[in-house]
Amino acid sequence: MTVATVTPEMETLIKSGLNKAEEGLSQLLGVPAAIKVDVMTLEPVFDLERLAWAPEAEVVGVYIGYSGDLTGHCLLCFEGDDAQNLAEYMLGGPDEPELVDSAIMEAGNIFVSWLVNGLADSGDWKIIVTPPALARDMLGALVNTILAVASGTSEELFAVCVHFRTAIEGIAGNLMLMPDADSLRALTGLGRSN
Amino acid sequence: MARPVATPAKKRAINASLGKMVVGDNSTDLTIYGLGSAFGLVMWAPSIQLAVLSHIIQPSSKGAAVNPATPAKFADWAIPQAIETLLSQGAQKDELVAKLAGGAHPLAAALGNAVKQNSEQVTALLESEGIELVATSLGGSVGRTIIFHPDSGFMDIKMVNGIQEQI
Repeated sequence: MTVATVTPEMETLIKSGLNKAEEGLSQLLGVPAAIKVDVMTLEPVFDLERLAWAPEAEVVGVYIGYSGDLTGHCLLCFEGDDAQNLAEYMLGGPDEPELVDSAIMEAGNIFVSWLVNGLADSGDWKIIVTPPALARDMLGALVNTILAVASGTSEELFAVCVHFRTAIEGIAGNLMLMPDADSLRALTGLGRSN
Repeated sequence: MARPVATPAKKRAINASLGKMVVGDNSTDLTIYGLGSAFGLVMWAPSIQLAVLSHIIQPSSKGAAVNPATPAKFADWAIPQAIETLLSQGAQKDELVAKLAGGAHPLAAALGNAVKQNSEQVTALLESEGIELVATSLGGSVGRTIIFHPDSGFMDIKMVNGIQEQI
């Protein structure tokens, strides 16, 4: 199966997930996060160089896996100072590196967990998520590492790539949702996973 | 009057995306951008300054047939093909050498770390083919961008935070 574009069904599902993520992030930050999607695309992840974001871009990434009626991997990435800005907003200012990383991981955990809950509610799916893991690395290295695991079960992998901004100045992010083949079919409305 | 200075011709960069294999001569650089837990395996024939770069994901295909779309996905697919490619271009098998980079584990907490086991299997495969592994840059917690120069046989490696090395 080859899916080249975001279908209307998929866009609706992802946006419902992002609405939930916005709710979670707003509760965490204590202000409306007001997430605005700039770009949403579906990309074949075996061709990294075709991704909208450069593989050498240095990012702070929060990884969470999910399984159940939908199975796959999720990577939330922040470029430049955005992760630091997010942490400082949560911590009330600059702090120790360990606390900064902990804050970013917690924000990523809330964002992705609530997003997955939004997907689960919309699709009537049961999905569980893994604990978050944080890494500071090249975007390509993080995706490469996820694919080394994911490609054991699938020859054809796609990533739903979303670039979003928040209402808080200096905090934007990139979300990569990498479902397995069955889950992608379910997300695109071409078939149900359960 | 100042003498004109000849500037070396810019070499063409050829990128090996995940599971792919690329071939380059001394007019090229062979690259992988953002190599994480996968491996970049170079096999080089110095006499003809020709190299094959394979972007390997796992060591063993467990007997599966080669997928032409991702011929370097597994080391046991990539290594024989790389040798065959170099020999078909005029290389001698006893001159071939290999360099191996990658196997980082930036997300080890979530996805585990099998780099030692995987790199040992790749090394064993090279040995079984009689190919000498002359240099490695393996493991660590951050990924790499690798640039191999078939004219010199050197591989430049860049990591985040400005860290660089050459093997």
